[in-house]
Amino acid sequence: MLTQRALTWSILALFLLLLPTSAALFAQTDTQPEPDAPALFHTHCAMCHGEHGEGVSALVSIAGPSLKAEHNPGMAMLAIQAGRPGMPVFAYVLSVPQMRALADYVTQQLADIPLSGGNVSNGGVLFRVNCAPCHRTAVRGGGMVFIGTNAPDLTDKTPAVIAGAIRWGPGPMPPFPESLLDNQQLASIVDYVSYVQHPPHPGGNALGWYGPIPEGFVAWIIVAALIGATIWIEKGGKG
Amino acid sequence: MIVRGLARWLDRRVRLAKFTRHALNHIFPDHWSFMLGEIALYSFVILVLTGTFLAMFFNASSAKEIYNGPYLGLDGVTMSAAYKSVLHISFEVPAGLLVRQMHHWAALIFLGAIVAHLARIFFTGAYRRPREINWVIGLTLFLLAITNGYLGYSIVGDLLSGTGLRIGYAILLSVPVIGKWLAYIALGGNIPADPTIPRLYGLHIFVVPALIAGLLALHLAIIWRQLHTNYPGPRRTNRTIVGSRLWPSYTARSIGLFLILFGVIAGLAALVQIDPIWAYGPYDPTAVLPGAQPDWYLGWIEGAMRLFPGVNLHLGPYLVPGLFFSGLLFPVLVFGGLYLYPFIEQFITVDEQDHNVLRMPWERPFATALGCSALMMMLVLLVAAGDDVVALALGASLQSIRILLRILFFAAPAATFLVIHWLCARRKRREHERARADEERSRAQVRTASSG
Repeated sequence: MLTQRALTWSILALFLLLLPTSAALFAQTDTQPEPDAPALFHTHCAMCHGEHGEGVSALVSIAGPSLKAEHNPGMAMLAIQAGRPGMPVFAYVLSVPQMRALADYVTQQLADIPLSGGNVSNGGVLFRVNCAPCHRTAVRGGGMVFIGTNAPDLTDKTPAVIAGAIRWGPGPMPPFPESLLDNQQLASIVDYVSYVQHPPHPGGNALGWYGPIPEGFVAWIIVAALIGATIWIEKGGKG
Repeated sequence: MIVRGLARWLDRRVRLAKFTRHALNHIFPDHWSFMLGEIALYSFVILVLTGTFLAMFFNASSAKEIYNGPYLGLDGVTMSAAYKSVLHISFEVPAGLLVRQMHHWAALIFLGAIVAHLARIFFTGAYRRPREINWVIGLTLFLLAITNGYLGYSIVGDLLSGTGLRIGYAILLSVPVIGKWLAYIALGGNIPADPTIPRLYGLHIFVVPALIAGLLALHLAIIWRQLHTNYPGPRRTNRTIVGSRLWPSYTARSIGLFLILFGVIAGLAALVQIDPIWAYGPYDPTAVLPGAQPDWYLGWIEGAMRLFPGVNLHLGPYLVPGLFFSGLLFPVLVFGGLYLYPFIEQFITVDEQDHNVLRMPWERPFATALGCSALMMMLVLLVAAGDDVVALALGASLQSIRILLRILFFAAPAATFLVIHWLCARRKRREHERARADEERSRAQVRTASSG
């Protein structure tokens, strides 16, 4: 009785043990070996994006942004598959699992810049000292006019782009490594910029955020209109 | 009935009837250009009204405080109490932002109306004897208005106004020998110093407005006493004045103008943002803001400072920085020239007559051309004040824009002078020819009438 029961159990246990192995065996037959993501990155990406995804800062054609803030695997996959302005299409070069492995590798291993968890107003303080000299109030770019280039406005920049640019320093922009801004401070700046992209701005039309120049312009239009009003009054309010 | 009784009661005590009758019949000329000064006057009234409201909530203190308010971008940030109170006015006080924007817009329009009024006086020769005193008072009012505008946006304590204050501080420091003491007296030390905001605030809400109000009263009293000028025309001589009476015709028009102005400024303040201080953040001496401009009426000084080459003059042990010439000497020369202009013209033309009839701008091509070229120079400087934004907008380099503006600073006024002089001289010649032709014709008519 006892031995028969034990035998049944042990056969069942053996079967259960064998099941995943056999499934793995079956699966192995129609997939390629696990893609080596670091090797793929070294071959296909490091030339433009840097060996560790830190970005290559150069004014020549081969230069790519930092991937240190690329936390979205879907976006990374899309970029690899379909290319970006200045980035080639990899869909004909790499298999889908390879691209997927690369996207996972970039977003899980390389991207180490946090994009949230900062403090908006601390970010504002840091922004005014580190960024405002060129980017002004963030929603309106300023001028690094002394070298004939203008800092772009940041209204349409995603958090990943902002964080990447701070670390990487695209074009004439200086890089801000961790020794200058730690990850927490960087996340704060990213949060602040995201906040002022759609800030509460009461008080009507912002006149393109250009400040006193359009304000003076509007004031003079109004003065001209008021002079028109005096002419109208002196005509007796007619025509 | 009640009004009549009250008026009689009052008249028995203070004898107002004669004066009032006289005053109500005071004649004002019927021409729109006489109302430009009135736009300025009523803007000042609006400034006083809105400023009184703002003073109830403004905290004139440089003390450091931590902001905890509805604007999240500055939550928990240390800032001056003044800046904090302006954030409070902008985000929490009912109608606070509207009134603050009305105050700022009214200031810009006040200065604009003053410039338009000044230009009218200049181009029609209304500054000539016997009105030189009012020219001098008017210019002083203009200076006071510029000063108060600057004081007003300096006390807010945002990054933009702090940048302006820093420039003012630098200009004061640039004065040879006494600069350091001058800056200390005016601003209480290296800004942001503790006494800076209270000191400027006292000047902004009391001293300067009181001076403006006093001089404005004098300005009006003198024009009342001297009567207005008249444009040339039929029945208009040096001894007559043609126009409408104060009551009811001119009063109606004037009140109408005030109501239009108030409505326009309130509408503008409701629809168009001015000086969004929360976007600039609190003043921090280590932070700088590109694309920082003063309000337009100070743009010409800013432009002069940007265009002037960076040279320093060494006089023995003393240093005279380039800023002194562009930031202080240049405005002093401009206003000095304006103040002295009527007297210089009198001296050169040996003119000792009273002029109660205006001259049309083309009648004196030299003065008109001179005035236009001065305005053109101011316009070039105003553009120069925003040269970095111009470079940004055009995608050009600042250096090339600045070189272009330096050339324009001399070339544009000179070209303006030649063109305006030519236009006025041509018009003047034609008017003379027409007058002579009319004379010939009437003489011929007289001749035919006598012979026939």
